Amino acid sequence: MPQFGSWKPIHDTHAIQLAAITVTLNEPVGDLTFRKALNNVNPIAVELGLTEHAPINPQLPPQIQQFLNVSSPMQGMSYVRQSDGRIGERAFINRESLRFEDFEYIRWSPFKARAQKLLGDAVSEFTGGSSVNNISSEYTDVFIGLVGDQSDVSEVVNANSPLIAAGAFHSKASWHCHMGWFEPIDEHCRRLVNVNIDVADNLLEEKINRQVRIKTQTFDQFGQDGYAEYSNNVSWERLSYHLDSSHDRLKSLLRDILSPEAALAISLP
Amino acid sequence: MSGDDCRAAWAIAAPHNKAGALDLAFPQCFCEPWSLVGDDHRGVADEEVVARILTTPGMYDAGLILTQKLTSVSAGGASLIRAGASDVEILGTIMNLLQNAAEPQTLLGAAIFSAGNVRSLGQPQKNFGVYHTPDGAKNHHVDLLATTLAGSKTAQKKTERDRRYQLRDFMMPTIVAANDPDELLAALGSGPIKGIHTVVAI
Amino acid sequence: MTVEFTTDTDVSTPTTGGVDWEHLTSSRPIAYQAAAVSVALELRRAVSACGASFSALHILAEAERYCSVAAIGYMAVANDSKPSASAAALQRLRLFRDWRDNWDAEGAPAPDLGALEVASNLLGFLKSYPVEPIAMLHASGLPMFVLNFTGGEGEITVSGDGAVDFVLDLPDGETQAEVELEFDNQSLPVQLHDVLTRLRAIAQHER
Repeated sequence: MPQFGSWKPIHDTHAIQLAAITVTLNEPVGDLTFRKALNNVNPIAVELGLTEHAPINPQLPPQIQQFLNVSSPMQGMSYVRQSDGRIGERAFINRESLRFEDFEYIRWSPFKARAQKLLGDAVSEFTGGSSVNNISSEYTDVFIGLVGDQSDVSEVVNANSPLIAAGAFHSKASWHCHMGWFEPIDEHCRRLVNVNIDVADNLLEEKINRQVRIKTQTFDQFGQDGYAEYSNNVSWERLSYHLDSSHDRLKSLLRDILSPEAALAISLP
Repeated sequence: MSGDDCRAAWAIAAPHNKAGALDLAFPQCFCEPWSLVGDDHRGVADEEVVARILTTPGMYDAGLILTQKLTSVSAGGASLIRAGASDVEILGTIMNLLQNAAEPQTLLGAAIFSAGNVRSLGQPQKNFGVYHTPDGAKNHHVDLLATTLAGSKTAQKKTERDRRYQLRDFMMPTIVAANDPDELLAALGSGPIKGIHTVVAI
Repeated sequence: MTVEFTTDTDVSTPTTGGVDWEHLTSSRPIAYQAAAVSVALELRRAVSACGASFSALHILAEAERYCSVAAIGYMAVANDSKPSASAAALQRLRLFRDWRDNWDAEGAPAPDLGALEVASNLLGFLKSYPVEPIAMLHASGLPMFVLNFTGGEGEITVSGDGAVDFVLDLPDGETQAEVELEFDNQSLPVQLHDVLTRLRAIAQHER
């Protein structure tokens, strides 16, 4: 177990609780396109082991429902692979977004390949009827304190990191920090970078479990705020380039946040 | 073809392909009558007792000898020790396994059986050969090597796997348990490993 | 307009939160999470319709974040109890990288680093199937997965050039084997995929 100081990552080899990819469109697709995409995704999901399918038909509280189209059609479909009673992988196909989540992340290569297999054709189908607003990549890394409320957060994160607000940081109390900024990518695309750090004390069986959660996320946004419009029918190959680039960026962000000991514990080069 | 030819084949074989190389040069366990290293001509006779020292978790886990560890019979050989070994040699073998593995090991005991019984597995085919392969100070070191089958690579793969299971099932009832080296030494000493064996001149 | 809510991933506990969620009466936790995302999307439209100027992505990110912060406690502590089979296998593969010649004290060569890399990627594809992979080393230094599954067992061996061998004893009594299959890191070799798919079908039929 790669314990360091009074902490450990949630897994023995890495700290990734969740890795996810989301493709968001500018407009929801029509019924025909949506159903075609679902017909395409359904058997692929089964093949990948995501065998629990459920339609997404939320009924909203009245105080919100009044603003909305009451009789909205099915909003989407969710797909789940259970693993030992926990969610292993999950996907959502909504009318204007497609999302793949992995709660049992192993490696970038198979994660991306599975996302491509599940979503690739649906993305092509969707972008025939709409255009891509952004493609998002995210990781949530979790570290668990081993000495309750005495677990020192400075053993996990670098208190002097430029990605942590100095006024928020505390070594032995809960705090939260959110940062976001834009980075140019090319003439079509800018990247919104989000860094969220939560230090929470969860009470379980009358014991405090201090946890550090680091969510790093990129949104590669197309054709917005002066960036040139991208053509429709964005292929998965084009998105794949952004995914690989985002993957590297997210690793560098995490490296800039963690202490050297925490980075070593999860083999972050 | 003679013992010298067998020793030459053994010497030039790659360390992790002893089984395949020897079988290719001399199939059907032709080289068993001779020692494959040095000038000692004593092969391992059928009636001789040999022992495989077992540690856990490296060789044995969850109540079973690990067939994955027995892949050595098709690679560089699964190490055994033959009857006649001194206390020093036996203890040295045990301590080597306990101290030099990458992961901490605990002594489980030893599988003790006759060379003839393991040689007879798969009869009339010869699935395994038992060879005297002294290794430095380990004069009573023996290697258990699988023979290679003819047939497609897929068929060979299945058979190789099946033979490891066969070997495991053969060895399981022969295990003598021991919690520490002295206890195992006593168990081996009171049994046939340290007894007198017959020298067979070739 | 901001909707604050929490949800958890306990499979038996319905959603709670600061908003009246009585309407979400599904007993499937995934529906809650999915609904939360979907609600955020609907809210964006509602906000736009009202002429308000919240960032749609901010709402979406906030909605997901609130979901996640509450969920994290349960999931992180739940993960503490027992790693998944694939996590445990990955941990073993990572451990093997540091082993040297004679790792078994019987002269085995050091684990093949290229093969370990391939095996780690292969592991990411095995989770589609009802198998528990246990990572071990062949005496030649190549990584192997022992596959445990109901009614049978199997082995997958990986070589450094990306080739895969397997032998599987299926619950229906048949044994399937193939050698030297090419693995391209994008999907399992077809023959391995086919036999594992068959295994999954058998397992689902028997459930």
